[in-house]
Amino acid sequence: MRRLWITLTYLVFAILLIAPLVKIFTGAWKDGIDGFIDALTRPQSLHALMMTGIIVVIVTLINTLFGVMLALYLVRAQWLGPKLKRLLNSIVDLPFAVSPVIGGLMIVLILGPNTVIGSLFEDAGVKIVYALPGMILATLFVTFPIMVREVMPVLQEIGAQQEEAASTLGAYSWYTFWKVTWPSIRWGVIYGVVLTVARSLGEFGAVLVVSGNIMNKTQTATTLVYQDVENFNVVAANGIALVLAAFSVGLLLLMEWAKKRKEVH
Amino acid sequence: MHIEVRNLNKNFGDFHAVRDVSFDIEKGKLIGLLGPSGGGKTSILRMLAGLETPSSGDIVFHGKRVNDLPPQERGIGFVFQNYALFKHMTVYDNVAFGLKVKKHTKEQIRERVMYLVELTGLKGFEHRYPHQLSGGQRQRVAFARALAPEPQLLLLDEPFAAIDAKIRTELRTWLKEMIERVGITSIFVTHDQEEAIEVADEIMIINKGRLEQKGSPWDIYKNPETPFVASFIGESSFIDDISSLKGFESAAVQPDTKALIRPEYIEIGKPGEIKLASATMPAVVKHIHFRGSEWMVELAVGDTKLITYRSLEKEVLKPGEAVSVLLHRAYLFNDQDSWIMENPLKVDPMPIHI
Amino acid sequence: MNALFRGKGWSFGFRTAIMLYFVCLIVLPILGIYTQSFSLGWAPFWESVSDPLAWKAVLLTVKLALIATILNIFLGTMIGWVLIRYRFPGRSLLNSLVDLPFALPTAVGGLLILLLLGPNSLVGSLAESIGIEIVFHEPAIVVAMLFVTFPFVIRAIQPLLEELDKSEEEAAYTLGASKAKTFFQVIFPTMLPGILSGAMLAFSRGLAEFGAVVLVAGNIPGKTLVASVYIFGEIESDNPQGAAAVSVILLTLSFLILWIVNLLQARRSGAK
Repeated sequence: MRRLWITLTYLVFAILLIAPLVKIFTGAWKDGIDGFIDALTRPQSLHALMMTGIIVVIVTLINTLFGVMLALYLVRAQWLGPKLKRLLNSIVDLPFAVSPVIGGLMIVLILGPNTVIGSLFEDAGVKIVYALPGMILATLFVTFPIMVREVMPVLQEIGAQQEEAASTLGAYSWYTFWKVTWPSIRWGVIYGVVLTVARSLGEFGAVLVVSGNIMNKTQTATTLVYQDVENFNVVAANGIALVLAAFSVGLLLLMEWAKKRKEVH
Repeated sequence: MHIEVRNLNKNFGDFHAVRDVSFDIEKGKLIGLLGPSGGGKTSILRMLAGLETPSSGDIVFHGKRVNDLPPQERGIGFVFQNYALFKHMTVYDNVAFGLKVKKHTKEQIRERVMYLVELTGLKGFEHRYPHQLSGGQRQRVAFARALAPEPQLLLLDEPFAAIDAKIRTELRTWLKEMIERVGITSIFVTHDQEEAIEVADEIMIINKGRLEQKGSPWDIYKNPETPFVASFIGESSFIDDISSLKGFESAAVQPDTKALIRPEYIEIGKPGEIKLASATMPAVVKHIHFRGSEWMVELAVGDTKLITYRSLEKEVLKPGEAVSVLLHRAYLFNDQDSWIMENPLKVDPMPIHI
Repeated sequence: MNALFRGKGWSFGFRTAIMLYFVCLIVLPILGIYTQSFSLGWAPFWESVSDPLAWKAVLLTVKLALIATILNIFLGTMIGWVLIRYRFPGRSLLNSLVDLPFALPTAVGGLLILLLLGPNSLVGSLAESIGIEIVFHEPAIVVAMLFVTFPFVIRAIQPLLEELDKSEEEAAYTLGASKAKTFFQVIFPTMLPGILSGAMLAFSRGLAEFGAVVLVAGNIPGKTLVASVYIFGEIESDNPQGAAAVSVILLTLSFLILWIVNLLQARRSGAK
């Protein structure tokens, strides 16, 4: 019985996860190393990878800052009534339930060139939709719950007492946060950062809608893969996909490591 | 520090946790806030610390109203129920925390921390983390940490609740000595009357958010002002119908008067053992329990049950045995009032007739 | 009364900034899409939704997501169980691999499925020879959804199994229960809330999935066009109102599921 279950488990993993992973590593080398390098060094590839890099960095920074702050407020702040807190708490999860395409659509609907706000920004010379700011917004929307959801349980678990102790010893907010709260939530935050990076690296639907997928302008690595596949340029798609997959596996290792550290604490 | 609290109230939503509490505490006193769990003791303590904002009322330290002062500026030390030690800091860093905040020099910090570490008997443990310490040691660290910035007032929330029964007594004595040595005004919260009686100079009994009585342990035991205090402190038998007991026939003139009788108010003896025979009434021994240093005896006087103690030196009673009982006094109360009544037969001019 | 937020005056500005960010980023867009879809009144909304292509896409999505979820329940329960209960070589490696679909970009996931099951691949040609077409047909969509939602059920039941006190099980044995009976009477009820909330999350993710599906589905209107791809198409063909209308249906469905999951979790933590 036991043997059967273990074998079945291995089988599922082999088919569903391991085979695809192997396939992408071999697929990218189909045309030899030159094909792989050519696929990667196309100007649009380099530009797309750069766009992805920019988005990941900016989104991770903003999301970490605001996510941690919001988690602190949702758990600790007394100026929010319990009812309001519960409401906000359930709103945090909404982006998880929203299809990325719809997330992108929302931004187009509110900030697109034909809308009031969009044209206002356009007059000021700032393009949002079909440009980098819109893509960042879309990714922020999609990744928003991750950090809050990682940090909140840790904060709840450690309780407010250590912070209260610090305040009776004369420490004010900043000092208390850095010396008392931060060491406890550190690994939760790092785990959240890794997840945010993974998600913003891989975000596709929302970015596709908002960016318009304009080559060498608003194309990201994932939307380039999509375009290559649509153009039946599978080998090129494979090259980019391999780079992304390698990053993902790296992130997965980081995730495991952060998770272990988080538990040790 | 002299502390004055006037008409303090605290509401949590619909729940009225603290109702109109007023008291004064003299400098240097060790005060115990005693009462059942959930009675508002901790809320009072937290309001004194500034961790909770009063709904109304004033808190005055040294003649200065501190209601709007944050905890950082009140000059208090707080020992939390679970100590709330900073778990990622060593003992040394925990104790040094309040000094670092105040930007003392490294030398000053070192000197003060080492003094406190030695004072609390933690020498050699400075570099341990809280999870490497025993419960008693953690409590000492929490105490040392709270004292480090030289507060004017020390507040302790159930300081012994999380400690094994065995070392609890030892730690109590230690804490009392320590506080006396430092000479700091201190208030601690507890639900354990034995602890309060043993440690505190003065006890405040808190029930359902109200201050029932404030006084020395002996005072509170001897002269309880409310039925709650009488029943909460010490053991006692609760009597519905006091007029059935000899000497107290007239006690129930006011309707609904009930009584509490402490074990030591009752004297029992085999027939003839009690001298004031005319003041005694017959009773039957129901059960006896060995209590280590004495017997606890359950008696039945008619339908009324009484509990009392009997010395081990005296002859052992047996269940079912008939005995004489003399009731020295009773604590009487009704809806309006409460008072202590001595047994009038005790001072009757009986001896003259003999 | 909070130690962290007491003190300085600028904390008010801080609060406002965070709350404003929250409202602008999350609440406004969601309100926006609801108002947009009804901006021209009920009639156009109804027209967009009753377009056969639109409601067929929604129905197809629900159907396929349901199939993927059911598969997920079985696979996830089995794998969650095996990974927690059995010790065997490679266990921790497999356990780490579970999260791969979360880490891997969905577009890459779609590409992988395309490569593995496509007409030129080993599996694809094999299936074709017995008359089953995978890629650009429904099976491929199910596989894509399954891949993307793979970790949900597993991750939801693992903590429950870890928490389950071994002595509960042993108590059942000492009371004379057989292994099977113990499993169904003691262990399974413990896992059930996890299975349910994991399945709900997987279902809602399946409904929403775009990246992996768009690459493998073929997107033939009325046949293999799922809702999210339909919405994308409407946006591309410059019909935001129609896109918003279908979005509202999909969104409402997802929010309902999220709400149920929250209820389930609240009940669970309440029961503790």
